[in-house]
Amino acid sequence: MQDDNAVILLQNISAGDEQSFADFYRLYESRVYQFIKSKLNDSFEASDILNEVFLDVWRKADSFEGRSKVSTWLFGIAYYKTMDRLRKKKPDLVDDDLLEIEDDAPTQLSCLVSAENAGDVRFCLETLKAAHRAVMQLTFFDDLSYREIALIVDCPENTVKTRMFHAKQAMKQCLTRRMGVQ
Amino acid sequence: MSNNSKKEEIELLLPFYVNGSLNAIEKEMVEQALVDDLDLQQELIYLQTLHRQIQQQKHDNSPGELGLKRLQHALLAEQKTFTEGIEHSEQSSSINRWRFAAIAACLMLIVQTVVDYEPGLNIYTAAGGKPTISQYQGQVISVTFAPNATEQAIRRLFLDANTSIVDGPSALGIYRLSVSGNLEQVIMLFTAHPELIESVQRDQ
Repeated sequence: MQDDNAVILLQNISAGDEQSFADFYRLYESRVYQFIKSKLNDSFEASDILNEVFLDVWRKADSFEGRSKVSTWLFGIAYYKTMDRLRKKKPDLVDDDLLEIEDDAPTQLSCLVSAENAGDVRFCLETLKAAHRAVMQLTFFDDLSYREIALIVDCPENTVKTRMFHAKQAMKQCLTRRMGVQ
Repeated sequence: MSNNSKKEEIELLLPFYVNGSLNAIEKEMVEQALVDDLDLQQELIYLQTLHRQIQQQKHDNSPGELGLKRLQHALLAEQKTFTEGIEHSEQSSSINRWRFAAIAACLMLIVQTVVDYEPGLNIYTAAGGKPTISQYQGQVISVTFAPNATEQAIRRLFLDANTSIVDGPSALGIYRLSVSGNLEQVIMLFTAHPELIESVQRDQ
């Protein structure tokens, strides 16, 4: 239903309707901002990119062809702009397919399961590589399917699945270490 | 598919089972695998906890309405730049129009000068005005040309007949020619070329 509404808003935006643009912004702004922020860890830069993303929406609303959900199209723009910024800033962080996890280290699942410490989860999320964090965020915060995520980050569906696999393994290791330290 | 590779596939699907985005076939496949696999069940619990934790993450305040204001300013600036661009473009095209008009006027002047210029022609005009036909030497005849007569053919005929145009064309397309030689011979010559000359008339 939200997507139907968003499609209508996009059509109006492509006709130059500023009110629809404001409505569209209010509909998605927070999610897109959190998504960008999850990769940059810099609220000022995240705000800049958010601004660029919505300027693109204003300019390119008529390029939305309805082949995907509006949110997929929008997150795709945000992902591209964020990764582009990261590439310029920290090229080593955007080596998408370089996996930092070699194997399944021993994990203490029972410990992790009881780890209801939001601070630890937040800390460990921030240690993930940008590409892994993006997939983790889209999977567990935005509840998107791997098919939608593949469209957003422009990679094969299997890559999304393996990135998510390695992201959750990295989280597991990080949380284990944090539990052990405390 | 071996048991190991099937388990790996299920493990890859598990996060998407947790967020509820699998299709019915995938969901059923995962649920079947979960029934008697303790590792997968533990993994599921871990992922469900992680999912809940991430969902509950306190997020930073997004720019909100301030971000919208910023966007609206940016759009306004963009539109202003666009409008100024058009105005500048219009000014430029106006200047260009005048420039083209000036060039065209100069060209017309040059063409007119070339057309009017006749080497050796006395540019001074007699005080008595332009010469009248009666002042030309020899006799004068009036002719009309065939519509498809070429300038080249007419010029050759005039040279053969030793005639020159002294007036015309009139509104009816009549030229008046001055004949220096024998008038009768010239008339015969002209009438012998009906493809060039439509009519010949001796002027009084």
